[in-house]
Amino acid sequence: MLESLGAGFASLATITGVLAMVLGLVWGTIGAALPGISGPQSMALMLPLTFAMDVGTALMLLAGVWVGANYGGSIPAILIRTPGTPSNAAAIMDGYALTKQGKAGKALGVSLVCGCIGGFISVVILIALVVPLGQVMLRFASPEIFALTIFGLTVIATVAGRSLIKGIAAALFGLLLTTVGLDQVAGSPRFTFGRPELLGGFELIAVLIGFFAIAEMLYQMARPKDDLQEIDRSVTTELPTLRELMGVAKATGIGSAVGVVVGIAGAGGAVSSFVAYGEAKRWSKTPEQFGKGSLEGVAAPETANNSDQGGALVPALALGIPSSASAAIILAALILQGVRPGPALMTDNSAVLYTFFAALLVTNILMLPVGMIILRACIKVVSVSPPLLITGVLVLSLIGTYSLNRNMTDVWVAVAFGFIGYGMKRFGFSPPAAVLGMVLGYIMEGELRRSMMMSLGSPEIFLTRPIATTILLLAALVLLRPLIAVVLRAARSTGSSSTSKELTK
Amino acid sequence: MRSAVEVNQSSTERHAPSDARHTHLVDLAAAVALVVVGGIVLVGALDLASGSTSDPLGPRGFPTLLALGLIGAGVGLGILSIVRLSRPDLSDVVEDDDDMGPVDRGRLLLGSLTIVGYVVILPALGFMIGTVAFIVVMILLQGRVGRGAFFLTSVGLPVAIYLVFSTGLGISLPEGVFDLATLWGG
Repeated sequence: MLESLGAGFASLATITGVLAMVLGLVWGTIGAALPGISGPQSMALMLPLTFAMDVGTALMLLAGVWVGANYGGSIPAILIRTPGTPSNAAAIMDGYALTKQGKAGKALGVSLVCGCIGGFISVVILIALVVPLGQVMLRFASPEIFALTIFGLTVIATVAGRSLIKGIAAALFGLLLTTVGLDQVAGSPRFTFGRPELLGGFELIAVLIGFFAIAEMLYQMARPKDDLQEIDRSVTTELPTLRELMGVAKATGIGSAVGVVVGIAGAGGAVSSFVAYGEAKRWSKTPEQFGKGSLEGVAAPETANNSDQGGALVPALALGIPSSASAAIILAALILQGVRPGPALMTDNSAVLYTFFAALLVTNILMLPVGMIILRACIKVVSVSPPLLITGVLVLSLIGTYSLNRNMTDVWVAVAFGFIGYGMKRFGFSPPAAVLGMVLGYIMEGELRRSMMMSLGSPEIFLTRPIATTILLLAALVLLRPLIAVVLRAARSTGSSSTSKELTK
Repeated sequence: MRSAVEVNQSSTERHAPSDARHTHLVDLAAAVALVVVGGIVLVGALDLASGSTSDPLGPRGFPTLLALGLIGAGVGLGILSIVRLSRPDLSDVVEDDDDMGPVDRGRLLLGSLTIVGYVVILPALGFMIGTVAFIVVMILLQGRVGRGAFFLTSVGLPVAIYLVFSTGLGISLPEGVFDLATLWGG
């Protein structure tokens, strides 16, 4: 493993590699600092560029974007109480309080340093886990892999917004999109409506850009104008002193642990940052300071937000099952480069995998100087007026989509899914869940059909293989949990009304 | 040095509380839509080849399962919506960041038409002219910006994108009226 990692580091040591990582960091930081643009959107907008690169450089670029976006979103959160991404919302409570006390630079410094620490630790854990997990997975056959995709789908559905049923429906819709085009086994066309452009199915990047970027811009366009906010442009990053770092060490440790675990579970950066904040407050010697400008209150959520990266990549790289939108985009980039994610990645493309690991480690270190240098630029872009931002992102999205295959069909697909994605958001369905379903769909159908071939058409194969059965039972539990909660609530409601009737007799 | 700027308030600001009944009615409509979409997919799947000995599911199997799943989700959502409409005490509608409050439908419609128009004219007019026109219309549609920012974006952004894609990455962009081969009938 160390040898492979060394080779991965060696492959970064080119001008192209360093430029890709730095460009990714800059774009990710600035992109996430822009109101209305999140980490996945920043990554989606970069995807068309990766098409023209080799897979290693593409992953270096995306690693930089991901790491940069985790920090970039904290800049507006701390300075103007507006998180650049949902994952940075928890940093507002103490970050903005510090800004009001004239300590914005310190808050940004703690966010930067602790974020880098959290991200670095999570990647180390990722490297330690993904290879053994992948080795275990190599022993899995189609029924087990299919069961895992079902489990992945249920996890997606539960974290995609407030409605489980809508989350499932969105994920099913995403799966359905993968059935358009040539059947992967029989080679016959499905749902192409006689159009040759659809024989290859929907271009994944076009759909991603539609759902993430165009839909979001339509959403922003439809919102009424907001109040003016002032921003102090003289702010510079102040790195924490050694004493201050020791003071937030416990909070940083809590954030790292929470981030990795929640990332693996697929609950996302927003959940991990709030959970970490709560736990850090509980274990702090000065919990009364939380919410009033505690450095621990910035360190914990920002560490968790960054250490979520490594956790989220464990199931994505080891199993081919994305547990977050950003992880889905990484998988999409791999698929587009002809690299199949999952256990096969360890055996067939281990060089690519270790290059990516090395890129993640290096970008988490590079984030420190890059984050300090581009703060001024970030403050300027936070000030970009929404009409310019929305227009710029739309142009970039549409032209980026065109650049994939130089045909207008992809652009029309992106526009169509932009409208669909906006409609989904308005009705409470989650476009990211549909994207995750689409990435999963390529694996799911293939494994299901292979399982049926193995069992000569009998679905009992999923009940006669203990591992597959266990995974499916877990998935069922995840799905049934909200229903059980509703039933219990109804029972309690009926019980309390009959009790109060008895008391009034 | 301070400057007054305009930014989007996003996740942390609460909008006006949603009308729970309206939400459940919207959910009911969404449930019907899910059932309809599922039904259409199910009918379409019937036209596909069924399974064989070597491939029991066949091209039809997976889409059929997904269609049934969509129909099931629609029925489930419909039942929940009806229950919540008839038993408001069981409703668990909570305000969340996706409740976007009032919608500027006019701006949204015009913006959408502008996007569609851009995609239509792009091959004909080419990247430069088409994009400048699109940017100008979109900015004017959305509100006032400073003159400097307006001109910088209208001209600077297309030039920057052209340099990155065409010159930097070697990806040709639509030339439209500048496509000399087409002009000369080549």
